[in-house]
Amino acid sequence: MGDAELVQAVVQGDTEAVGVIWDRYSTLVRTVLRSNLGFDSATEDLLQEVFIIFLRNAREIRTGSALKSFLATVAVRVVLVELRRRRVRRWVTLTPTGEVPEPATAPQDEDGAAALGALYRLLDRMPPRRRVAFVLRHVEGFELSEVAKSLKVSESTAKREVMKARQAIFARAERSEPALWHYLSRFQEGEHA
Amino acid sequence: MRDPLNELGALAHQRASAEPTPELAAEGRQRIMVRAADLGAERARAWRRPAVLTAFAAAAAIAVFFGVFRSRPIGYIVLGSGEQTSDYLSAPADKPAEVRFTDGSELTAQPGTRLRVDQARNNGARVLIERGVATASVKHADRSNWQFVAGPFEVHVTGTKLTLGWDPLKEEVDLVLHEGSVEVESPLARGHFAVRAGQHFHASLLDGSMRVDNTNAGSSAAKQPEATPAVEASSSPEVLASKAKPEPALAPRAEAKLAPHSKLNSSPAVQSDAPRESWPELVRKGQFQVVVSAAENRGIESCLSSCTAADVRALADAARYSGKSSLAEQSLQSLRRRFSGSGEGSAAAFLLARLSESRRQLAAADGWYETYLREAPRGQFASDALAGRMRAVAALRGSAAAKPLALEYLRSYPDGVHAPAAKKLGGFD
Repeated sequence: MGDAELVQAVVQGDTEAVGVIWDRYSTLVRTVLRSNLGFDSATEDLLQEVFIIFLRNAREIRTGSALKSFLATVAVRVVLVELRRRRVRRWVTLTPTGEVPEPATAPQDEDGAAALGALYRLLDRMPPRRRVAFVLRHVEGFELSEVAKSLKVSESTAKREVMKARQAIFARAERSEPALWHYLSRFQEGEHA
Repeated sequence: MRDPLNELGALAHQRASAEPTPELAAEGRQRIMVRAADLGAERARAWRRPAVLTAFAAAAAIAVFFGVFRSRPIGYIVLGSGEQTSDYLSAPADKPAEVRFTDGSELTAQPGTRLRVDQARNNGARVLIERGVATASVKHADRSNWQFVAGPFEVHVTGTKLTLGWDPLKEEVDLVLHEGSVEVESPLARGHFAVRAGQHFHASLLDGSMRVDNTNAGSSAAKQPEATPAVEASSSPEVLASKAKPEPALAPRAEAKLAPHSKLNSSPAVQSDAPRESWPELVRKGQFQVVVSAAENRGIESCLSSCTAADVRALADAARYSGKSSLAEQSLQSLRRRFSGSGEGSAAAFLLARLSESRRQLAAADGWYETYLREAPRGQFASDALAGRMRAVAALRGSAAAKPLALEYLRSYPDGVHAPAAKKLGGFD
């Protein structure tokens, strides 16, 4: 069954279609949530939030092909709200304890893991929109136009946010995150190339 | 040279893409399917309301036609609106806008608020808040009848002063009562919730939660007890933490006082006051794991054979909403055995049907739906049960076999939420 038929079935109250859509897209949405927020206990609840918003708004999805981008956009929206909530609650960290998020499987690259932890510490200090713009561009590999669409800003604004995030990361890494600075420098020197 | 941030991003993506455990994935799937079924039931109830309103509107039109209503509807003027096209009012971003009604009632829309005077009647009006916060001071008079609508929440007012806010993005409503009392109709629960002066009602559609706190906003706030539901809430996963700590008066975009997550499957530790609360009350507060643990401590078998119908139903709900479908089924079967012929027994048949349908046990689902319809043909789940039969029969025996059920659905619920599906099956599309 295609996305269009599934969305139509959901609109008509078919709960089984919801399960099929879950099977098809929950991994994508979970990845967007984790790459923005890290691994923590809230991820699965936020994943539910995204799908509940989809259930409430399924009628507005005009074509089946829009389903994937709809879910991704909602996921970004949920991320922004969550980041603001955490900011308000001074939970500006990847996990409630402030530790670097734990992956399901530990990466082999220990330097990479340390650099990644440092990267997310720096991202935690950024405004939510800038942080999400960076993650969508560099972690999720979105085109700038897709970043702009997801954040509901112009492409030039999206580009500016990504650039400012990059500048902040390089500047702060050099100043306060030696593991990240070392990792980035090695790449620039071609060690990993 | 490769971009080092892209390389690091790829590493982050690789970690974020790690598969969840099969148990976690299955639990998530089950949760969303249960929520989808519940939303379907909510919508069915919501769809019946416009039909009633339409009937009233038609009756009112006929009455006006025959000159029964000779008084004129209430009038109003708008001051300070950045935009007023037809009945819409959009307050500028930097200052409030006011609406003054001819009966002396007043409405102040906070900066950035957008609202609409949907209906102006001779004894009041219906005001829709599309986004933002508005404070209303409604003049009390005999037969006065005002409604303020925020998303799917409806506040019924006869005379009062209130502040109502609706955030369509977060799907959250906040209501502060400064004077008088109101009744709130919420899609998260059956019946109306009474909110009194000095109280703050907050509900989140996303969390499926509601709570009422005392505030210092009203003149008699300190003397008022916590709100009580005018009609008992349904056992769906709403939270009514009526003894929450007092909060400051409502502010627009009040992120600073948002409660922490209270999700469907949240599993709080056993709380110190748990023994004092009934299981249905704990379920209403979303403390599903507390209920399940209490039943386990007591002995599931013992409980299923000796607990009251309300407690067994609470256990079934707690199990359903925490993904323990086997325990939910056991509890519902117990209700069927021990309380056949009662409302709880019939409702158990419907919930067993839902459970079977979610497991793709369609013949069993059809049987339970049929049982429910036989026992409670006008019950609160009747339309959903009929639609469930329609789906199950269509899947088991094809569209032609399901057509009579579709026609029956359309005859009984022409505006029901499953009407489009019924029309398709009935060949009316």
